[in-house]
Amino acid sequence: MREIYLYQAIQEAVSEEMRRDERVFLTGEAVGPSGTSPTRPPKEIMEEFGEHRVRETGIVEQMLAAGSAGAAMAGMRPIVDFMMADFMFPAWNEIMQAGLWRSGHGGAENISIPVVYMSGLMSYGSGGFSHSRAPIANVWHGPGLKVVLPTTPYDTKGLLKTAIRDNNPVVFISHRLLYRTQGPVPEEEYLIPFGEATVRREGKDVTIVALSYMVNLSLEAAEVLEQEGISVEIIDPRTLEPLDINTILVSVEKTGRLVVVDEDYIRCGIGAEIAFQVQEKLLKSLKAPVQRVGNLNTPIPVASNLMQAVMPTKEKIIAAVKKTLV
Amino acid sequence: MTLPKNLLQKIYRDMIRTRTLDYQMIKNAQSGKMPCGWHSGLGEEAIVGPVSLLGKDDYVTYTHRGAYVWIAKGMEMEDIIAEFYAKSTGCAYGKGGTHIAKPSLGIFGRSGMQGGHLPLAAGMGIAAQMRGQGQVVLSFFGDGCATRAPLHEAMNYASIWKLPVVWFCENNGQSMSVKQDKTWAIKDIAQIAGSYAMPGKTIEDGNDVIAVTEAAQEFLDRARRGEGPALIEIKTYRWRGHYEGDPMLYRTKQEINEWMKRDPLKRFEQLLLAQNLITQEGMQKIQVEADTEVAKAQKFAEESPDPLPEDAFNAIYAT
Repeated sequence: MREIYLYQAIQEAVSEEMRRDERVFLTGEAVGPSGTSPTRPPKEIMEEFGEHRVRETGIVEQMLAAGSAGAAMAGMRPIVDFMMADFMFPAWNEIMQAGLWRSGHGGAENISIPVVYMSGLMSYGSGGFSHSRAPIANVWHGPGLKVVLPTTPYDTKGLLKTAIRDNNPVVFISHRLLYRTQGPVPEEEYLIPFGEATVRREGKDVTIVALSYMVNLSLEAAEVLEQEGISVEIIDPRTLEPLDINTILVSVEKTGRLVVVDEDYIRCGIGAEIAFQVQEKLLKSLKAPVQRVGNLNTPIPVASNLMQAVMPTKEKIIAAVKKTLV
Repeated sequence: MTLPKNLLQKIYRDMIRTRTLDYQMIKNAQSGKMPCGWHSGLGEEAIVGPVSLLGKDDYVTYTHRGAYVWIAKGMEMEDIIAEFYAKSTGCAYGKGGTHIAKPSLGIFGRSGMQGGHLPLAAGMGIAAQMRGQGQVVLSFFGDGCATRAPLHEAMNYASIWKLPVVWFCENNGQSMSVKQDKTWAIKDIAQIAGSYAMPGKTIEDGNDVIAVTEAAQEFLDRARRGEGPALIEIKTYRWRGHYEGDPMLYRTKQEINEWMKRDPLKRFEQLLLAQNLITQEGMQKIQVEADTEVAKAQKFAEESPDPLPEDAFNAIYAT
């Protein structure tokens, strides 16, 4: 099978869906053919679809988020590229609200708000406190949004196409450090349903739950641990809303140990929620307290050593796994 | 006068219906039996005119005082009052309250974050433009929410993309309890149209139904032709407080009385009588019909069942 980069998987998903459905359009900051967005579509797309369907903007996050929700209510299927995940913050009200409109209308006349909010996590660079955040738990916290974090090019394409066809607002968060990773992606069309976790690595001693780039860090940690005789299973939920808790439960029932690795802040985070759901069902199967690896509670610094101190690393994952084995 | 006779008659009837509904809702708010608060639009009914120019497929967004928009766009009284009573028979089945929505009439609710509906309106303009069937968006907002960022982002892009949106500022000079001299450095909000390279027009006498409707007609036609957005500002006034129960410490009785003398409905009525477009008997008949319509809807709302607890979870996601 051919291999493509993850950013190409995004481009392919967007252009194939635009070709398939004339209601789909792309908008966002710097998404034009000479734009700085790493996920901007190739030049031919602009020529193929024209300016009504590739709407490049400047810095207008509220307009992008709510304007697209308005277009979606009025029958279109917008894809918004916020470039950086941090850039969702200026539109926080509008993104949150996109998830509220349907229920606020009581679902009257079966109204739908099919909009995709794409962005990329920019951490592990030197972006500092306002370019390195991972607002994942934030979007998962309340009702109304679906939340997708793809890891591989294959998953990216299949999940993004599903997101574009979904009739709800979907927050689709990819990772800057994964854009230039390659992976097999078939030429023929496929979709990946939401709410189906995948086992990234099979193991028997400890379960790690991780998404996006955290999967890659966990895989590196698992390699090291294997040499020490510790067998790690890695579950990638791929979507948080809906969450496939069953695949996680099956794994933890087998291993009896769980580490959740998350790029967002630990406090009130994904680890807390998943740990709670697991203990609720499997308290008697757990052989050790659940461990969490994530951002510590400080604004993300620029200096490499400080950043390593604050953010998840391979070493911290290894330590957390070992802690469950004491 | 270029507006057709039957349109003027429809505007008059809808102004009466809206005002009758408004008085009923004031009573409801005061009764303590209606869970949602009421933001009365008494005194600002000239807006019925512009809304009456819209077709079913056109889109409209509204302010706090949206009753004239809902009525003139074609919503049923039952849908509205029952929703304010949070009943299972309301337009949002008791979940939306004041954020009245009727998607099939191009009414998609209102953001509780003031001004949040303006980018939504631009987005509806995107949909209308992509569809290319001459649909337009008429987006109302107040002088209060016009100070917020979403307005400027939305107006800027509506202009850049030449979206078929007519922005319509109901300037009542009061942002909640704050007078315009403390919320704006400019006097006429239509001035901002120049910043976004679109035509702008301030109508000083915003209680003149004909002037307001004709201005809207001109800009709506222009938008339908694909010539892009425009901004209308009308100077008007709300007779009631920001909400029912507002102590109104920020204005005098005299100011209110001055504006009540410029009642848009009375003036329009006199004009119609003078032009023989309506008779005294006709007026009475319209009022009786409106009273009956509102009373029937009121009874319907009061007697409707509450939603069931499980209904709280049945509309979050579309399938």
